[in-house]
Amino acid sequence: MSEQWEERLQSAAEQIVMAEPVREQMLAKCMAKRSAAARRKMGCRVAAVVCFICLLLMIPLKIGTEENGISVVVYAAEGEGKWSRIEVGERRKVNPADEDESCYTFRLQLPENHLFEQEGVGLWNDYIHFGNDEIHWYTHKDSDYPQDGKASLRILILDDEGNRVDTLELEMSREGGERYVELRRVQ
Amino acid sequence: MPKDDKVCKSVETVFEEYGNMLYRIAFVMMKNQYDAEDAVQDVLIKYMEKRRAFEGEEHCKAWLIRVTINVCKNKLRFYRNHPDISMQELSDHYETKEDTEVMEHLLKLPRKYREVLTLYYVEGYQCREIATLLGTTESAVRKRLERGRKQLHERMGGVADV
Repeated sequence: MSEQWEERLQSAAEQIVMAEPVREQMLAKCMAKRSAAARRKMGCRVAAVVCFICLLLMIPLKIGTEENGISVVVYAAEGEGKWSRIEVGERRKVNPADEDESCYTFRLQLPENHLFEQEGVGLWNDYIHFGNDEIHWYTHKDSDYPQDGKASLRILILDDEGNRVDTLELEMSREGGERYVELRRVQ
Repeated sequence: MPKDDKVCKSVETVFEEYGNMLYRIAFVMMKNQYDAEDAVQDVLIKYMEKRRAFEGEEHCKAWLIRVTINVCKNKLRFYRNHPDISMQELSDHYETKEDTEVMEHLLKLPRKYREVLTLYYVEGYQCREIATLLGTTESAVRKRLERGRKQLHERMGGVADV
């Protein structure tokens, strides 16, 4: 008797098989799931690569413009309404932005609710006009003034409570009739 | 026993070789074909995600059985109101009354006896191996086997002397 039911149990259990359409459907579902997982994996990799590239691109932009969590960008007028960004630590030749060829214009891009104040360090007898976010630097062209030399302007960046959060220095040099500007961060 | 070489089979091969065995175990545990099919599919997906090399054929087979049992246990835990197969469906499935009867009685046993009886009598595992598969002791498996055998025998109208 005992042996009979054991054999019967085995025989009955072995008759439990999946129908062929069910097998095919199940395998198809698994394959679809595998493809979806592979696509998802690929998507994650692409996103990671894109993020990495963005990060790499952002690094040079961040260097020199952000200190203590605030971001200040200085532009120099190139004439004909064009502006070019001056990086901190960069020295470059600048062109006058007016017909008289004596005015050099700079524009500051400050974070929201921030202001700037100026502090002359050595300005010859140049005239400097400050607009909302622009600095117009009128240089002397008279021969009485030395044609070579340097003059600096300190730009103090203040937050909405008047606390100084950053200090930049714009140095203008005269060399052989050309004007050069250098932007520095003052520690 | 000498160790086999590393085994890393495609899901298609695994399904071809062990699909029916896994379905059988899942069916006995879940007591209906739809939940059993779901369980087997979950196992295959886990196998694909695992992507591991097994120590041998037996290791691969044991892993599949263990995962099937765990998947079924989880399903039974979370879907308490799952329908059992009707006796009509069961009798439609089998050609002989004897086969229907023995399966009907097996499915009426508590789960712990069903799984042990299936692994022992149908899949041919030894008590020690079943203990490893179920994560229990060999003596517990022997006890379950004895009680399951006794209950099944009684249900089938035999004398309780096994």
